[in-house]
Amino acid sequence: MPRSKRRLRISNSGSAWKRIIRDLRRLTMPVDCGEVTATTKDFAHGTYKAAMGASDMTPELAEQLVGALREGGVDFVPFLPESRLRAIIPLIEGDETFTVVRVAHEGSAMSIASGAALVGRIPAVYMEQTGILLGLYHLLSVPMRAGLPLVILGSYVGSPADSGNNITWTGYGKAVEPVLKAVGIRYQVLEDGYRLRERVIDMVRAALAEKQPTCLLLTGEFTTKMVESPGSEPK
Amino acid sequence: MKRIDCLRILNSKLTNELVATTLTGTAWEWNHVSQREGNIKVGSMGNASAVALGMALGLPTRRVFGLDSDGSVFMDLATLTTIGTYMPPNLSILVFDNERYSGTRIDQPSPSALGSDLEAIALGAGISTAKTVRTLEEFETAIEMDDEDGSTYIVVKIENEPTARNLPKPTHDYQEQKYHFWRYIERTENVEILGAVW
Repeated sequence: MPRSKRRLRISNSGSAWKRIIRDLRRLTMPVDCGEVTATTKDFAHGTYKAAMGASDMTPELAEQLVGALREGGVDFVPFLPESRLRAIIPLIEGDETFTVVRVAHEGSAMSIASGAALVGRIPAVYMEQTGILLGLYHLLSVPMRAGLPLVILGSYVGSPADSGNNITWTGYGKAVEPVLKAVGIRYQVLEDGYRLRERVIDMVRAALAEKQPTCLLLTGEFTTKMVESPGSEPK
Repeated sequence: MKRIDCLRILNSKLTNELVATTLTGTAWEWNHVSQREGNIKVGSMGNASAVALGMALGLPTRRVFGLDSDGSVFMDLATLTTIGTYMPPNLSILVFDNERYSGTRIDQPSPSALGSDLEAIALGAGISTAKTVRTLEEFETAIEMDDEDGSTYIVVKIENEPTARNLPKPTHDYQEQKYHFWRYIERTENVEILGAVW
């Protein structure tokens, strides 16, 4: 039989198509992971781990983080929601200390925060770290050029020890620290809640003293390694 | 209608308002007609409206004008949705739309010249007050709009002409103007921004 005929017979085979369709269904079967719906395909790529990890931030840790921002003097928070640190959203929105601005693009957050800094407010922007890359032009062209204080709170998806093998985030995770170094933004990676209050306040203080953006990158380990007693040594 | 004529009208009506400007033509012409302490040049595309929004939300007791341009707004359409969400009544955004990318050496059509309608986009983003003006009379009326409905958003259709290119350029840099601006805010709002150096 000529080769073209053989290929035709295979592609018209009912059983072959059924097998392909069955496999495709398996690949895209929705799976409920709390607030995140993943598919079996996502599981294979590690999204399941990230989705489940996203719900692990304890209320105590969220309160400690927001309390430290407040204590450091932060009073203006533009943000784009993300999953990992989402427990802080109701806390900042429910606290009259903060003027909270929901944005549609992280670059907007950088520029809106800069406007607030120009009229004397102390801004922190909260986003997934991919947003830092997205907002980089805005960071360079407003707060870094004019010299304005701004604290970036980024969930460090794709960090080396945190879903580093996840095809969705690993590329961003690999890039963000070299990018921050290249443009001269002072940053810290937080992998646990050890001395959280001091570390957050220090970064706010640095932003104010240097009149430049500073950045805290919070890893997946950060959300799961809450110390039992805030401020004590990590487990 | 020339942008510089609009800016002269605007400047004649201001008292203690804060004004954030985008870059090149708009910034140079505003610098030429207005030397007020409440002026701040953002000086980059895709930022002036957002910076003005941040100023308005951060200091609700002061009126803030954002002087933006068509190319700059098209670069940062997401900010329109945030203005539409909050609509601070103390915010006025004026978008000078010459339908061109017209920096120092270029003259190329912007999306305004190619079928995009900034007023319609702003309305769709929730800025219910968005309107377009085409004459100086319309401009003068528009900037005096009642702010009960929230932010003012005016697309100002202007000629594509070279006035800005023949004006002297601002001589103060972004750091210098920021310190002047901060001191002005400290003095007029009775707040401390810079604090003790040591």
